[in-house]
Amino acid sequence: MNQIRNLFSTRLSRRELLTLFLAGMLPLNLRAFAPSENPDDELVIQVFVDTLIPADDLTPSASELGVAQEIINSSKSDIAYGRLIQLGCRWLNHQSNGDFTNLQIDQRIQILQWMEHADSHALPTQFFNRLRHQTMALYYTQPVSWKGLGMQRPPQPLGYMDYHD
Amino acid sequence: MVIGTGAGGSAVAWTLASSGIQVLALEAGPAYSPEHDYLLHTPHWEKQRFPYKPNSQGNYKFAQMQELEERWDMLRSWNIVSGQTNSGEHRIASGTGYHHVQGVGGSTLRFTGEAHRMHPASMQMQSQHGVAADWPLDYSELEPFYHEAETVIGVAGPTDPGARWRSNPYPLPAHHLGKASSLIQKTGAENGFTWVENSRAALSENYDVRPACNYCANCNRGCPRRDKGSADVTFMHKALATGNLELRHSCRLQKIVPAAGNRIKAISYLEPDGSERTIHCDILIMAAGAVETPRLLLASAEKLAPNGIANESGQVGRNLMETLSWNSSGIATMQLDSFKGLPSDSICWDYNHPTSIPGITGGCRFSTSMAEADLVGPINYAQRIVPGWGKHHKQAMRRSFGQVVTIGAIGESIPNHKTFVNLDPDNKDQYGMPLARIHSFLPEHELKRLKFMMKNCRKILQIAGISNLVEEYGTYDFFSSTHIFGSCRMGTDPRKSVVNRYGQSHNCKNLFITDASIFPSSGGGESPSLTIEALAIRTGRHIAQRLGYRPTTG
Repeated sequence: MNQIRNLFSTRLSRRELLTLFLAGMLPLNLRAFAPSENPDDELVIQVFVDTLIPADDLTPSASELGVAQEIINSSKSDIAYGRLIQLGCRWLNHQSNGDFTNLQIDQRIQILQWMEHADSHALPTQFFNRLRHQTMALYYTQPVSWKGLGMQRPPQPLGYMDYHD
Repeated sequence: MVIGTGAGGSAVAWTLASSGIQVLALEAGPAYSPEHDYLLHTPHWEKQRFPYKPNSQGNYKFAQMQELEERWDMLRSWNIVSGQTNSGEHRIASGTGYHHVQGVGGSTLRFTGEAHRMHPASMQMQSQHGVAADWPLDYSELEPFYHEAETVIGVAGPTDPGARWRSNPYPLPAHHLGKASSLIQKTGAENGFTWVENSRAALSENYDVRPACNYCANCNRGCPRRDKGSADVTFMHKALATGNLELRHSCRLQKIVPAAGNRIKAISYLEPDGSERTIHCDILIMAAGAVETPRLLLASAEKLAPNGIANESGQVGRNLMETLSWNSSGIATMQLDSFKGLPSDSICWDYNHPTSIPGITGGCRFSTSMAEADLVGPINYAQRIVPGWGKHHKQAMRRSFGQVVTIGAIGESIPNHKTFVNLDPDNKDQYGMPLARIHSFLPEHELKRLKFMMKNCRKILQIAGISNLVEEYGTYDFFSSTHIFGSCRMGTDPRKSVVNRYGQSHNCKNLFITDASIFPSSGGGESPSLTIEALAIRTGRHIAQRLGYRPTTG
């Protein structure tokens, strides 16, 4: 736990980063993908949040509602969070032969499934949990996301006079 | 002069001002404008539970809390998304821990608005059961003041008073139950649980100048319509209308100044601009809550009061009682629109009597608690109780939204010598006053009561056909108190209590206290605001009579 805390308060050396990546290496075979240039963190976050909340027939994806941009913006005013985003994106790209955004959807899903259930103190799971939490908040605060839920508007000014049988 | 304008401060200010007495009320926090501050009409309504403003919460610290034991692991909080929500080795504060508001109206601004009377049997816990302390007055003496408080607020309640006899019916009829509560009431009745409409400080009809509730389910985020009977829109509003009350908010008490002859001479406080003022006071009424009131009394220690004001007995800060609570949430198999309606609209008092839980002294109550668990919007569903992500998560959100049912329980808190408030020796506020430090310990009997509460929350859900539990949250591994009592106990013996039966200091004859700090026992889960208000009206009436002012009503 202390190791993780320290990660966000100090600058990481290449050795620390390598140690972290090895500790969180997931057992997927992605070597069929050719190495590529690392994309911008914002693009990685965009693909990540759209894996968490994709579009469907009723409602748009997370990035279509500006969730990725909001996360990047909030990470700029929070040093520890910014560090988590930076390291998490590097980790995702590292697991993806250089470019997480270049993966097929089923491969992205495999990576996220692994992150969700790995050691809760390790960076990949901390990154996953924090991003999931924030993505859900940013997405479901927008009325367009409420379609299909049975809630069409904020609680006031009309209230719910139909609350009982 | 009144310090603090929550339930007790507002009620006593109204009583005095409406008797023709000139009153000055100082409030450390800000004032709220229901129409402008409570944003339930905006898309962002769910993100923030209550709109705390600068200085709308007091500063305090917690002493290290107890180690968690494996044998009580069944009482650890969890949810289906995150697993255990306190995975550490010690009990910790949940968020701020003491969930209060410092502002005009106090914690009633964010309370659910349950308007409970004490169970009469819960007021003699020492003589009848050998725990806590007896109230120096009985239910019959408090009953007229309960009725008066209910009339000011416009409480809506059931026709059958149960164990709490009444001289008059509730001012307003009870609210209709929502769909989840109707299910719980029906299945409970078939299985030995009696559920009734909860008595609520929310208007079931237009009343006074306030509109009826429109059932938005978000009392805990502040009521923009003013139909919830918080102290600012009821007692304080009426007190200001008399023309006899001057209210100064954002004014922080710095020191209570005693005089020779066991009296308070003056108080000094900080104006909003930071300048210090000293005001002479004939009568000082403390109503800053069960953490801040003892802090201010203790921090005012000086030569004439070396142990703190009104602390000759050493009891100021002792006998603290906290909120012992448990919530179990499950997903029903049918649509219940459980994000709509009146929070905590139904209640089960079956185990409220001090002897009703087998083998454990002190009762508890159960209520439907989706709003208290903050499960009335999609963000909290997505973050806490609908697991997963991706397209399946979206579909699960649509299937389950409106189907969660939460059963909450609140139990008796019995004072113990390890639970108290004192001054933190290491931390001061920006003006140099030591912060309050809360010490909390849950002994074996409290954990047994909590386990009984947990088992029955689950049972109530199970008999309603809800077996899919998604979250449980309790105060074994988290300190999480909305109701805090007892740090300036009321009693007849000056060696064992701080104030007498009128809330008057045994020693400082012009000092009174009208907040929950004077409770000798907590009750078996009753919400305290109505009792605070009834006691405060009684104290105000006593003061007015002593000063020769004619008591008034309404």
